Amino acid sequence: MSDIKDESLEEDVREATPLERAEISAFLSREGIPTGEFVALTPEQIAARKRRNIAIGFSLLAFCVLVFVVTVIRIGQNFAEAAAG
Amino acid sequence: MADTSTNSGVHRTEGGAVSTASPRDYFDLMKPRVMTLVVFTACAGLVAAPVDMDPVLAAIAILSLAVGAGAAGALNMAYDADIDAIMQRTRKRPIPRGVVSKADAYGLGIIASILSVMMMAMASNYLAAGLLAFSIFFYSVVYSMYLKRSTPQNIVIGGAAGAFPPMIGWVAATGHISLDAFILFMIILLWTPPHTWALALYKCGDYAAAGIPMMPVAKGPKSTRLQILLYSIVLVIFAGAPVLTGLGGMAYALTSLGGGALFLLLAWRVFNSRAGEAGSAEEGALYAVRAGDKAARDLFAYSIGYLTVLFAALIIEHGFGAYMAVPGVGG
Repeated sequence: MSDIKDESLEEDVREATPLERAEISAFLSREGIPTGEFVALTPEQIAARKRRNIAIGFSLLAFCVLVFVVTVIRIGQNFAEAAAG
Repeated sequence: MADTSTNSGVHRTEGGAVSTASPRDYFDLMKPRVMTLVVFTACAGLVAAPVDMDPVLAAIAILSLAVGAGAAGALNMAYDADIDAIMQRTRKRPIPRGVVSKADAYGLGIIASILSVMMMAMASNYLAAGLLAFSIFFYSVVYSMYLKRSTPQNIVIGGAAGAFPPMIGWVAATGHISLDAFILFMIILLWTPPHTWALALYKCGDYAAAGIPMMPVAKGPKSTRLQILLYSIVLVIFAGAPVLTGLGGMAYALTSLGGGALFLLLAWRVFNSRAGEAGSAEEGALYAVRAGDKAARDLFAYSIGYLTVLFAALIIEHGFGAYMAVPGVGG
């Protein structure tokens, strides 16, 4: 991971293809620190990240559903108690 | 993590520190086997309670308890990563394998703790949520960070964390702690030492290598075998208490009597064996054992079944209308 190149970023940009310039631009605007380093994920890492994202998504959805269900039942109980006097 | 360069000289690093952990690895952090027992005993407490709870809210309360127990397990694994890497039994856990980082485990544990306590408060009551929060704190901080590495009485005191679930289930339904809830708590508290020390007897080399002062390591196998027998006697006697209060009916009484007799028999066999004196079994499997340690392995395996059957009897009696009072005792 400690593979920061000696040449300046400006030189990299000058020699870059249009696609690479777009990547550099996106990188700089996101991080703001011109390390010149990119992480290219392996296919396994991309697949694992996708699985984790899906799992987190479902967990959040389940949490929202549970909160909704509890709220509905609690409100119903409160109405029933109020009606009973 | 091979490095590649583009034409421009901008470096790319393949892989980096990005994890390849799957959701299953994170689930393993939550100790699913422990969660199963927690859910089961909590169900028993909830079903045996004299107040009927809305079934959906009851299910959510039990789910909250399971997540809370899992959160405590994740925090425990994060803190114990160093010793888990040494012990054969635990070295295949996600953190020692390098699949999940300690920071991720702490993150999962803390977030799951907060959400589970919050959800318990919404689905049941603040007392149940408070007890859940306390049991998570007790297991992950008091037991994991202090007791486990400092005293042979670690699991005697720390066993309280595992004893809370039936009480929390009871409190979730009723809103208060009663004598019966306390009895269920005490049964698991008294069950924990013979259960854990039986395992520690045939895995004592593992614990010694990791520097954990489990009873067989600190006081020796002979003293441990005696204490297993004594705790077993107290447990089997105390397991009859629900019959006296009327919580347990005929089915529970018979289960407690028969199961307790077999528990004592196995504990007696451990006492008369040389379990723990041959060192640890070479294999990392939970039930792998040397010939001399077989009695301890049998007690460990049976103790899980014993607790399961005891609480199953309560669930059947109170959840399926099979309760028959024992003549002459209880209410």
